[in-house]
Amino acid sequence: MVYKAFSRNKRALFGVSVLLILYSLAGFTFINTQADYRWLPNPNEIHTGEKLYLVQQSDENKYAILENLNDFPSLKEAIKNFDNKVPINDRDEYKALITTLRDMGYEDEDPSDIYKKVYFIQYGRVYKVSLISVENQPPSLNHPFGTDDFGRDVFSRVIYASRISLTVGFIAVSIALSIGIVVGSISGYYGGIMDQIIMRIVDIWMSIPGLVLLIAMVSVFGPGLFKAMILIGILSWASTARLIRGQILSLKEQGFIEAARASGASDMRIIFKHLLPNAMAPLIVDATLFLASAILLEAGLSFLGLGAQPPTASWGNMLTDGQKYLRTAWWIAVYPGIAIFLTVISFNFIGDGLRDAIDPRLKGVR
Amino acid sequence: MSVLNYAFRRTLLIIPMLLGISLISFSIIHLAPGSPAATILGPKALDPAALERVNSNLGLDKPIYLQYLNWISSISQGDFGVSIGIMPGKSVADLIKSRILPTLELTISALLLALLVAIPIGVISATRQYSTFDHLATIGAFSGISLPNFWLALMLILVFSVELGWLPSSGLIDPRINNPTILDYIRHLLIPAFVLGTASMGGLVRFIRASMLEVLRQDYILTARAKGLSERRVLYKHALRNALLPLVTIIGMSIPGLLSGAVLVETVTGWPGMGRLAVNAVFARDYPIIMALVMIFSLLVILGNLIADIVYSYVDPRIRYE
Repeated sequence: MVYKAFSRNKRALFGVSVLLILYSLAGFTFINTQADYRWLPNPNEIHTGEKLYLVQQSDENKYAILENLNDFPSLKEAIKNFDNKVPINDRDEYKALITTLRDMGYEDEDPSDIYKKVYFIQYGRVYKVSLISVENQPPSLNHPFGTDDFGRDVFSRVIYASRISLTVGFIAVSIALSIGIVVGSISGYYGGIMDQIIMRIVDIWMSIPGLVLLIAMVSVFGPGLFKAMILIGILSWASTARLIRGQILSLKEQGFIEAARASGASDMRIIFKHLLPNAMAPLIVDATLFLASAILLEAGLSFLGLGAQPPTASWGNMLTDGQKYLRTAWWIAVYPGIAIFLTVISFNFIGDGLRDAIDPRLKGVR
Repeated sequence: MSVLNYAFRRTLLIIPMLLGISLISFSIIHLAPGSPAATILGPKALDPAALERVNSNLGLDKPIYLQYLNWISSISQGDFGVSIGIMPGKSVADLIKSRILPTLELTISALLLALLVAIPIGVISATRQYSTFDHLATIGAFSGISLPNFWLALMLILVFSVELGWLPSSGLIDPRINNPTILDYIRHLLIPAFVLGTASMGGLVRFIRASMLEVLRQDYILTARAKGLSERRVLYKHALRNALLPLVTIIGMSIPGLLSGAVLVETVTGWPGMGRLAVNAVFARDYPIIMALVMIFSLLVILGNLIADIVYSYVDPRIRYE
């Protein structure tokens, strides 16, 4: 019956379809793994048989030779065959190149920074062409969402980044639910002074604005995607605890709990076997809606530079670049935002659809 | 029980909550790796004598509960210590003081804007349940909840500042203008306030619609209709007033979300409020500022809820006897 009601909800079905598409795209990321290091110099200035060097611009018009490109055959092929659109697709070779650059004194730099400084040299002559010659290209057939300031394909990066946003939610939600369920069950089941104390803590916790507490914690533990996921989970238990407590309070006086207790079931058994399964429905709705807000939180945190760190692509940190180039390259900012919006609204539609399906009395009630 | 009596009781309850928050906020700085003394001294921290001097100046050599009590007693006098990152040595209270008003202005205008848009849409949505308008309003409301506000801000800046040039892209006022007028100020406020308001707007539309539908099912609406009152009178005189009552509580509950949102919106739009200061403080690892901001943000939430509760107990006397 729940399924039938849910499947009649057009908005919820829209949400399910969008998420199915997003998750399958994210699953096929082997297509996109080159997105982070697709090198696209101008093909017209490179001729077959020429010696290519990778050089770095140290000062105005001064160049230091970093590496003979012959040592990176597939990179060289990629540059020569640019017209045939051969991307560099050998991750090991890319790593070797980065290692070489690091050995030459770049260990503290973000590898993606190197792209911007690298130029090509032919027979000692420095060409204006560089790896950044196709930076900030507007959307075209080759790059449906355009390219970013490193010449990376925005479409590929949006898909690549989806893995982060789609995972973050689940990890954060599992942490928040685990804490919330345990705390809420104790509070609701045992009641008394314990309940009073826990509920006061919940009140206090909920009066600190989430993002403020989150960035305060990041200032202590340092930025990073993994930390962000865990912190979002740890900081969001309070509303789940309150929900579970309410459910358990209303359930525990009912006959079947009395019966379980009379037949000698332990507290643990009563909570996990009898009470929680009956509180499942509102919990699932809560979790779905929380997924949506966790994705928004992560995006916001990454946007501020406190979540996923470049060169890892996340929708949030792509928007940081987007803001930088808003005046010259709008497409960098537009598409990751649409991706966030579609994902979040899909989870919200599904959560709302589930709520209506599970409890039709609540139809339309928030 | 009078409203005043209720207000007094509710106000007293603030104190334990603030103590709880201060404990959380205090723990944050003590979780931080590296001692504050080392952060202040920087490279000079290698000198043990200097470290000890700073430690005793800051009272960090005392037992932790004494440190907490000292901190509590100084913040209750408005002394939040000195900045150690953004402007080392400058009083945190001074740094924050000028930031409070812009944040309040931004969040309050966002809230007012949200109400202004949400009330008519929610009411029309409910009175024409399942109409095209209702469906569009529902999708609009969900969009408001789901839009990342910092992205929406970027898009509006792109359209209205970069492309059309109608609105300024950032800041509180135009630094090039000597005597900024109120109009100039409002032009700067438009994008941030609208963007910050969208999430609340969506939530409020959903809530008002639901509340209105609930009220329309009540017996007194049936009575009003049976009396032969015009539909207009029934809707706007009898139903709307009752449907909007719980709105006070919802507004109170939306404050934490608004302030969270302000952190991002202020950063994107260059609004010189507390949220932007908080982000800068995190990058500078300026713990005293972060602690103070956690306290002030939470105080704003608590005060907002307090005002909402008192107003509610005034408009709906039933609540006071609970």
